[in-house]
Amino acid sequence: MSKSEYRATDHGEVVARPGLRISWAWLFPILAALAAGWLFWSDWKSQGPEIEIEFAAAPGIEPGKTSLIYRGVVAGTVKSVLLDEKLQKVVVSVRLKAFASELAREGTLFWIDQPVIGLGRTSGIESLIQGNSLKARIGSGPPARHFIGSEVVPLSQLEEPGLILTLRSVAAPFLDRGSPVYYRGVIIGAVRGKALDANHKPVLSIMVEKQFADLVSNNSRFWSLPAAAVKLGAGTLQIDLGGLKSLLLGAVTMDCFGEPGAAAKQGDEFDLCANEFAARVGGSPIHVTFAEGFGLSPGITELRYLGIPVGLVESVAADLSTGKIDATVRLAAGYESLRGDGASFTLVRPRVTLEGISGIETLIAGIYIDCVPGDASRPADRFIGRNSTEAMAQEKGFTVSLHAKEIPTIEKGSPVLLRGIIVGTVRDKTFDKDNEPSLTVVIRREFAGTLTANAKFWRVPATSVAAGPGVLNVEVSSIQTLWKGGVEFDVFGAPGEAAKEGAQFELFANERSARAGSPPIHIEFLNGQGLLAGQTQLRYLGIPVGIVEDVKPIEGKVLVTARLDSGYDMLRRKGSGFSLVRPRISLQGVSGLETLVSGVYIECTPGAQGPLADRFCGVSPQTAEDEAAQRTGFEIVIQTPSTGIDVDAPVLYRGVQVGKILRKVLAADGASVGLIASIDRQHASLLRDNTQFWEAGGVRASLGFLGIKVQTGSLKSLALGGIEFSTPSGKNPGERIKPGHVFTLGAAPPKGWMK
Amino acid sequence: MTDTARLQWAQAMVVTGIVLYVPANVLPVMTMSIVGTVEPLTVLGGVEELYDSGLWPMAAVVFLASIVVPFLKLVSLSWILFMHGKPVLQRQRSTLRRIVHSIGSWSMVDVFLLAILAAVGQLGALAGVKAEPGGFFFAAVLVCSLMAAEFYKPRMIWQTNSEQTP
Repeated sequence: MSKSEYRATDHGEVVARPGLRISWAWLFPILAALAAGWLFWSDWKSQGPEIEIEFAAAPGIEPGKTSLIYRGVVAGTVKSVLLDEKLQKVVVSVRLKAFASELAREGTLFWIDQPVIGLGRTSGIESLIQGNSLKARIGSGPPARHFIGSEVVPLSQLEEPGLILTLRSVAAPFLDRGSPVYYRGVIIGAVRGKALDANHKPVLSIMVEKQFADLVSNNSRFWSLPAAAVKLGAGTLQIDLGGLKSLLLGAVTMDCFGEPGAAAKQGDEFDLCANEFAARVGGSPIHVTFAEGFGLSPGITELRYLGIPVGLVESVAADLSTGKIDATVRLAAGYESLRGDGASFTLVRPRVTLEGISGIETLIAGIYIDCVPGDASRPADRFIGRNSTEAMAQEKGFTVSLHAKEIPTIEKGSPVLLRGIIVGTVRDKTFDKDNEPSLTVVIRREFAGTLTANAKFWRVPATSVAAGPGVLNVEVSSIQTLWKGGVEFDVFGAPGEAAKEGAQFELFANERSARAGSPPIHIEFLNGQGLLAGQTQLRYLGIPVGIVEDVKPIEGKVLVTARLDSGYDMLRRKGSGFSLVRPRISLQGVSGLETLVSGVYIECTPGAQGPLADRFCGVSPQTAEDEAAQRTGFEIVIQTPSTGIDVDAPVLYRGVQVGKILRKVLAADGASVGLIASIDRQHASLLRDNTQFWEAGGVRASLGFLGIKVQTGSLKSLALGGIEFSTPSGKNPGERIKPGHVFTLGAAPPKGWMK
Repeated sequence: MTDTARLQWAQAMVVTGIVLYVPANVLPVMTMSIVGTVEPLTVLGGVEELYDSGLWPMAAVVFLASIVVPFLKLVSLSWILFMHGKPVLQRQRSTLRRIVHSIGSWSMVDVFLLAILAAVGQLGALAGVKAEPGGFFFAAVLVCSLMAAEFYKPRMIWQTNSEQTP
């Protein structure tokens, strides 16, 4: 078929092609596809890289749900949680968001945020509700895809710590992970953990926040702040409480004393000191040797200079070869000059002596070492230390020894007094070579001049009671001597030459015997009742003039050794009388009543001019009086078959006592009783051979018309009975009689005797 | 509007619906945050969740209503439109279209449910429901299938290519 043919026959045909017109409706699928495509594309674009994190355990991590949170923002989602082949680890795959793809770097720390509720620290509370989440802290290394997750929640969650340091410590019991690190009260970091090093010493790892890292220099000092510190000092009670956080966790404090050095480097090691003072002490060590080290504790015992802590004992070790204690002491910076040659180190302990109480602060604060600097131009590092008693002995050593038969009440540390002032101390109480107790007494240097060779020492009793009629004197020397007693000395009279070191003195029992410095005298008594060595006094006209030093029986008698005070030499003369005065109560009178309280004493009567003697014969009171009576009286004998009249009964003349019955003896044949009466000499002339004696004692009553007449003699004669006599007066008195004349005792008075 | 235009619109809507069906099922339709846990839920994820929690009848219902039914609707509509003009199985097509049209009025239930959840489920910090783009796509799929069914009139089933030339 040709074209023309076609044309010829073709007359056109209307062809409807309605399906070919494309409707606007087809825009919709295109739009939809674009929208969906854009959505998927943006979703894909918002996804960052996928990373894997290994954990030992991944509690609460769920794929598809758990988010990775970085600074509180969701930075990714966990895609899968798988175990590795050996079932030893959990591998968590996290699809990071695009903006967080920087997290996929080495050094980024991932951890599972778990709720931690503990003392002082509570974190991750939100995960209680939301479930655990993954958290991240960005690192700074090159890009990475595989990470090892941290098993613990890091202490600084936002930034890498500036510094991680190691603190060596002797012990850090209360510090633990999370304990804050303070610098002048500001928390600059925290304790990351503690562990033991190769030497089994505790080591703390601490981290310091980045912004504070430059505060730490290589000479920074660290010390632990206990949760609460109680300091008890003289007059102060100080309780230091840190913040609540440090109260619960303890804390580490850092500071830099002096010029800060170079900046600390990552991983530097420091010492953790026990307290601030220990931290401040950073000087060079010195070695001090002590004889014993009781109470010396490393890290606690301080070295003090004029009471100010200037150093600290670092270590204490016993040297077995020398048997001494070697203490290493570290001086505080700035006190290096104390270590000069010749410096002395004294261990100060609490000392309670009667000179005073010293070192009382050490009761609470512990002992310390007192330091007296030496020659600063010649530094040394080895010193011999001593304890405080040695120091005292060395410094105050004027030593004398005292001897006595017995030394009660005085102990080591008892004071030595001079006129009431403490001038020394009893350092030792021992036996001397003769097995007698002796005291070693140290007189302080400044008082050494007061001790002369002729000084006398005596014991000061705790209390003395001096009592006399109407006087009761309780003497308490002082509270010090009340406690231990003491030794007092004095020079009576002119001081002699100064005593020599180590001189020996006698210790007297009391001041009186010390004063009684003359040579002893010896007095014999028949009866020593009431005589006390060291107490019984010698009196002259009632005044004490000496003291009995010793009483001992010799050959049936009592030998009293006594000392007279100086100045009473007339009592030492031959012929001096010594009589024992005892209390005597009789109807004739009361005598020596004062001896009831003060004890017996020896009354002295000076002898006539004559040579001095040292041996006397004492008289007891009875014999003394009797002798007096014998010396002065006129003795007669009155015979009677029997009588109630007793010795000492008065002999009366017209009611006046003119004598008394001395003795009452039985006649040799036993048929009668003889009363030996002594009549005073001045009344002897009343006695005549015709004198009549009768019994005056008793009561006579006569009954009359007008009543009863009772007649008694004196009260004395009523008790003892009495003898009355009358001599017929008138023109022919009888002959005078001689002593020893014998009269007969009549029963009743003769008639008319009153005439 | 001519039948040709109607047909084209219907076809375009079905294609749009098929295109949107993908993001509607891949993207989360909503995020539920219950006491801090933020959980994005896709439709299939929701079914899975229901099934996992033991509510399998519920899961089945949701699965049918939200995944199977829209899918079947799109498939049936595609088939109906593909068969347009062919003089076969016209009765079956008519029945199928009627069915699709009638269940179309229920197909938005999911979207309503989402709307109600998003509106009611605002319990402050404790819980919240937020509609996500997936929901929008899901609704768009349904709208597309509805519109396709609407554009394609039942009588058009009975048209054949030969009759198409008036």
